[in-house]
Amino acid sequence: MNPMLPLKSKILDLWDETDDIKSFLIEDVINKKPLPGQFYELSLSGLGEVPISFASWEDGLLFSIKRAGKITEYLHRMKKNDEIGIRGPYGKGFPITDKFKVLIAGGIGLPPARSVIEHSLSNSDNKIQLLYGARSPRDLVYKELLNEWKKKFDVKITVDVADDNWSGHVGVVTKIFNYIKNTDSFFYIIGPTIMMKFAVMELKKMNVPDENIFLSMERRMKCGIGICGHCNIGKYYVCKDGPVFNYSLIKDIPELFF
Amino acid sequence: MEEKTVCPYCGVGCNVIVISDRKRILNIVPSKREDINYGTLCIKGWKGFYYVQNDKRLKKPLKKVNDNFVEISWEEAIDLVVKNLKNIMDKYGPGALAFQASAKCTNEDNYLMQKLARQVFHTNNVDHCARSCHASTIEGLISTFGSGAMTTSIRDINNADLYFVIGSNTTEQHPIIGSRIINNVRNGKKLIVADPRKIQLTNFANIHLRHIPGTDLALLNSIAYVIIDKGLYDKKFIEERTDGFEEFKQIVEFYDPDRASRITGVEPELIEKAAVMYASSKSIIFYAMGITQHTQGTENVQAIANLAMLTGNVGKSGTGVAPLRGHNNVQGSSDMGALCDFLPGYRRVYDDQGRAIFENAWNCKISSKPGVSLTEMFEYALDGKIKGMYIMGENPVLSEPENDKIKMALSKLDFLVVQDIFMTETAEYADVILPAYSFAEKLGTFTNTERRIQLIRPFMDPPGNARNDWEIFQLIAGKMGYTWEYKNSEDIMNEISSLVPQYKGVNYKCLENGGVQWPVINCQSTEIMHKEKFTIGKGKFKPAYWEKPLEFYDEEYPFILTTGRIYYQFHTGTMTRKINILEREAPEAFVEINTDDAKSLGIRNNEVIKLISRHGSLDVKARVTDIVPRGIVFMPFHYYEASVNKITNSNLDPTAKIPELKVTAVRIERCSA
Amino acid sequence: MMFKISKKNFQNYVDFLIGKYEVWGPKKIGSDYVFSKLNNGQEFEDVRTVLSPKDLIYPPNEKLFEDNFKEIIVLGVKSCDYRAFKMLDDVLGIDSNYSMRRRVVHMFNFVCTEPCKFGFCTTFYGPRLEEYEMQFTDIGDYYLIETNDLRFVNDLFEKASDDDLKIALEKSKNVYKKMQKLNMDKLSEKIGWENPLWKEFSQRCISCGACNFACPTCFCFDVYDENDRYREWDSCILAGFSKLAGNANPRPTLDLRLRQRFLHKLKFHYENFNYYLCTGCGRCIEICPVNIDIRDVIRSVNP
Ligand SMILES: Cc1cc2nc3c(=O)[nH]c(=O)nc-3n(C[C@H](O)[C@H](O)[C@H](O)COP(=O)(O)OP(=O)(O)OC[C@H]3O[C@@H](n4cnc5c(N)ncnc54)[C@H](O)[C@@H]3O)c2cc1C
Ligand code: SF4
Ligand code: SF4
Ligand code: SF4
Ligand code: FES
Repeated sequence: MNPMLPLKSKILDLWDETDDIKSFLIEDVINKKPLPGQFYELSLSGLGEVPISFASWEDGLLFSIKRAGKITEYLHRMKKNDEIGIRGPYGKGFPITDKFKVLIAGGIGLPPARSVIEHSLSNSDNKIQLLYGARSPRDLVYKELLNEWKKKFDVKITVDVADDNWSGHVGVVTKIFNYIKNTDSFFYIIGPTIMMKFAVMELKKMNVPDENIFLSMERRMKCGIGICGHCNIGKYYVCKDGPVFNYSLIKDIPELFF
Repeated sequence: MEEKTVCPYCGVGCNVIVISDRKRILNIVPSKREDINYGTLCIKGWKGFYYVQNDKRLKKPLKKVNDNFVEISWEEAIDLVVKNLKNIMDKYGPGALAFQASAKCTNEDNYLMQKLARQVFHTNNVDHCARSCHASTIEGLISTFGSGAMTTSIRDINNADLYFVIGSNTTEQHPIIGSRIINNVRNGKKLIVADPRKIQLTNFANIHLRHIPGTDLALLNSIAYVIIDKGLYDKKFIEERTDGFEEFKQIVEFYDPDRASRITGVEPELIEKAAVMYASSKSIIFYAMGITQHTQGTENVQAIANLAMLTGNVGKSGTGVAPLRGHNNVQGSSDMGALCDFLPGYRRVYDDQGRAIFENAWNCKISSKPGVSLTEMFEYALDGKIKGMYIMGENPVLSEPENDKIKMALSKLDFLVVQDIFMTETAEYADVILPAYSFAEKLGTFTNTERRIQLIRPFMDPPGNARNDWEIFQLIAGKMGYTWEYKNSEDIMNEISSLVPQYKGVNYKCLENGGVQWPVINCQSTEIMHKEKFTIGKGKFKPAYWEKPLEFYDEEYPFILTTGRIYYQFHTGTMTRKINILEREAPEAFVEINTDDAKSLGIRNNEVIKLISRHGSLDVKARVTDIVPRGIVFMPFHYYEASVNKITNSNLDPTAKIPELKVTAVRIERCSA
Repeated sequence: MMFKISKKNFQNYVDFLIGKYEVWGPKKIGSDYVFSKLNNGQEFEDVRTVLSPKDLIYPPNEKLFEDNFKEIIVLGVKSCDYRAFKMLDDVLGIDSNYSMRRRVVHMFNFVCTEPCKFGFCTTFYGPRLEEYEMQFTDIGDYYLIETNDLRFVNDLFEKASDDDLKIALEKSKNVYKKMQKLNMDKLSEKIGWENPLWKEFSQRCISCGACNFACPTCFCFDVYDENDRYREWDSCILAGFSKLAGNANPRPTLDLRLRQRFLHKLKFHYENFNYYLCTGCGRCIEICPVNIDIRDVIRSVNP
């Protein structure tokens, strides 16, 4: 079968998370359990495809998608029961480990972090901590879930710009690094390139070894299977060798952050 | 199968071999011919052909019924067109009709459209986009040299020792000429660039003159001043080959570098250096819209011609004046008389002898009064003086200045026919739309910027019921009672070559091996014009004083907005915006603003800002850069979403009627986010 | 197995092939040579063309979900182009359209006996192939034919001798003699991210993409939808190649994109596959409007 041919699926449900992020529950016609950190190509026939990390896998595949350009804009205009194409899961996810895991997520980086959290919790492993940064309180996703998580493990949230009702932390995510419980952890970083860059710098100051830092990288993607050449970082292809990379492998590549 | 043809974008006229199965293009191969594209193409050549197989091509004639278009038969379409145009002509006279030809169409198409206008509908109201790009070249070079075209050839660029490029972003607009210049400069030739923007060629320039837009004439006059002052002019050439030197001298005397510097913003030493360098080398001057699109466009072109004559840099190998033509066939459609004031072969409509030739050939009367120019057609339509319009392959709604006015004008028409390959912004206003062939389906000729008449050959099957442009004209003429009997486009070329002196004796057979450059003599090219004598005999110096553009920066509108094209898009984007990669590279409009200006206005890169001129305002993303100098902003005109021609000024060059698209005074405001 | 065929009979052989298959090969169009469909044996010219026949297996623009693949024979393929397919196999091998065409398109190698103007194939593998479907070498009045595939053998073939092979080897050695061999010693390790050439090249590159389109080993493509889904050759020289939504770009300037092209060929691909993504065909050099030359990059590391 043509590996780039999407399978026909449909939107089981969809709802707004924030002003520009929507969640989509999509029927998993592929029926293969994805690993935390993996992604799918979502396809609108006649319009195009986008790579999106899955956030959850239970009653279907859950994706949370930010309006960023042409295809994501179209996705936001879709309705329940609309047809959508999917292919995947692709790439290498986060390591499955019983080490302590500190998840550092910025903005639309929370959905993939959720896949890690749910994987751990389902294996009754709650050696996790979540540090989550968003632009403003309005831009926080999964608000109810965050409260539930808080009951099970340490969750710290910060926003760049507060509003009147916000009593939590204000500032970039590195501002709450002092809450990091255990520097002998695995650190999973997912977010905008700038945020990842500063997060790594801070972790290095805390003497975290390179090998314990994992980054979920983002590059322009087309094929998702390592043949179109778009997503390379040096010799690696993000779609096939990533999106999750151990920092020690990629740290010397000058184009890593931009 | 494979077919040799010519790139449909810019005036370089690169030769390509297209491999196709007549439904889809299978591959594009650049021709290795040394005299044009030496085995290379720019990105538009590589990627830009695929629009011809786009599903959105018009396939059936359409008529408007209650604001919707419905498909109709060709019979009905032709009937409708003829009935309506005839009604208008009968009721209001031929002057109430106007025709727009197209620099994207072949010589044969353009020739027949102007013949349709003049012979069948008795009007000189036929014009095309050369009006808004190189009308001033035609006037400027005819009045000085006698021929409105590049005096030299692309191959001859290699023979020059210096290139003076003014008002042309050559590597973006005529890439394959731009790269030829770069290669020569890397081999030790010299380069002077006069352009307010830091264009790519300035990477290689010995001298970069960053003059204020609209001050070109002062700059050129000052260069002449220095050349005369230092005695670097070619006395022998001036004496033997030209007239009017004394008057010229008197006028340029006014432009000593100090004074010119105050006008142009260029340091006097640089002007001097450039003048000396130009005068002491075998030089070619290249120019494009940066020179022509001004109220003094004609004078600018004449000033360039003056410089060339002053230094004897014309009529010899490695010298000359090279207007770079934007469209693939803007040279040809002008040659074909798709102009309101010229008959084919640049015979002025008021020239009795010239007119007589066509009156005899076509067996009709032709008015001796110039018709209404493209830029004025819309004014006339607004005033109700033009009631019916026939537009072939042009999109004035985007390409002409103050386009809200154009839209109003189009809606006011009693009847509008648009003949095109896609539904354009202009076609939306049509009463009848006629689906035409693209270059991919046509046999015919294009004439490139170096006057080379080249054959294009069909490599695709036409979509649906689309028809050849010239056939459509023949059908209309027939319905009007004029039996034209062209069996194919070659028949039309045979008529052209019997009536247009530059094309004398041209037939498809003699074009087979790479085309010929006009004036054609026994099927042979004229590579370099004006060798022994100028086309008008003695060259004429045509000096003029610089005048401040009608719009210039002032307190209320402190910036000069200048417009242009970018590499990946072409004209109004009807073709390029349907090409995935070209659209990906340049998907949205932007305005370039200098880093310091941006800082003082508090504008960040990518921020949407408001440009306000006396003619309108628009919102557009700022691109903060040092490509433009302080005080000047630049914006491409390809985008319907942010159409810069909404706010440009439509002041005209009084001779050539070309609008001053290169200078509009604007003010910039931040959109309160 | 080894045969030979007289030049006179060769045209008849091509006609025979044309009778059974669709046959493509270099042919003369005006003053140019292009790969196109041959109508008769006379049209075939054994010359190196501006573009390789990459398009016959991997078209510049195609529907992504195609299912119509014709069996064709391609004559006049050069070893540099043929080897490129072996390299493309490592990447595009999992692609349906590519692998389907790879199965039904037969590429016949025609050994070069003179160096071409810009090629440097002897730096890598030279003009003869070790693995081939059919390999033809011009040995004067005859072509020597080497093949293990009996499908394409014909009555017109004669028995070839070891002497014929000797002549053929000698002829191809001529290329080694006349062509400059570049020093590739540990190039992938030595070549750095920083190199003054990137900036220098970026001053004059006009972003035409031709170096990618002409390269027989470049494989990158873009995908887009019109009514169907299409893919087309892409070029890493273009800014949009790596641009993300919202205009962020890991390679915002031309020098970084030129670096990507050269490092992909001379470093990254080597690190992944143990060979350079270049066959020394010289096409990117010939087709560059402003003479940007991959050999300069190699020489800047190993003079
Ligand atoms: C591994 C991975 C996981 C992702 N997970 C999520 C997620 O969970 N939620 C979410 O909202 N976003 C996610 N993104 C980002 C998302 O893919 C882009 O926002 C999206 O592709 C933008 O497409 P567009 O058509 O709207 O934008 P346009 O700018 O119109 O993009 C055109 C095309 O370029 C490519 N492209 C553009 N930007 C990106 C990008 N950032 N990454 C990859 N390809 C791009 C796509 O092929 C896209 O169709 C992820 C990206 C990657 C690489
Ligand atoms: S330089 Fe002009 S003619 Fe040549 S390929 Fe580019 S657009 Fe076409
Ligand atoms: S990089 Fe250049 S020389 Fe090497 S294979 Fe590609 S086109 Fe040929
Ligand atoms: S062929 Fe030359 S000019 Fe064109 S993109 Fe490649 S390096 Fe640049
Ligand atoms: S997305 Fe195509 S190679 Fe990674």
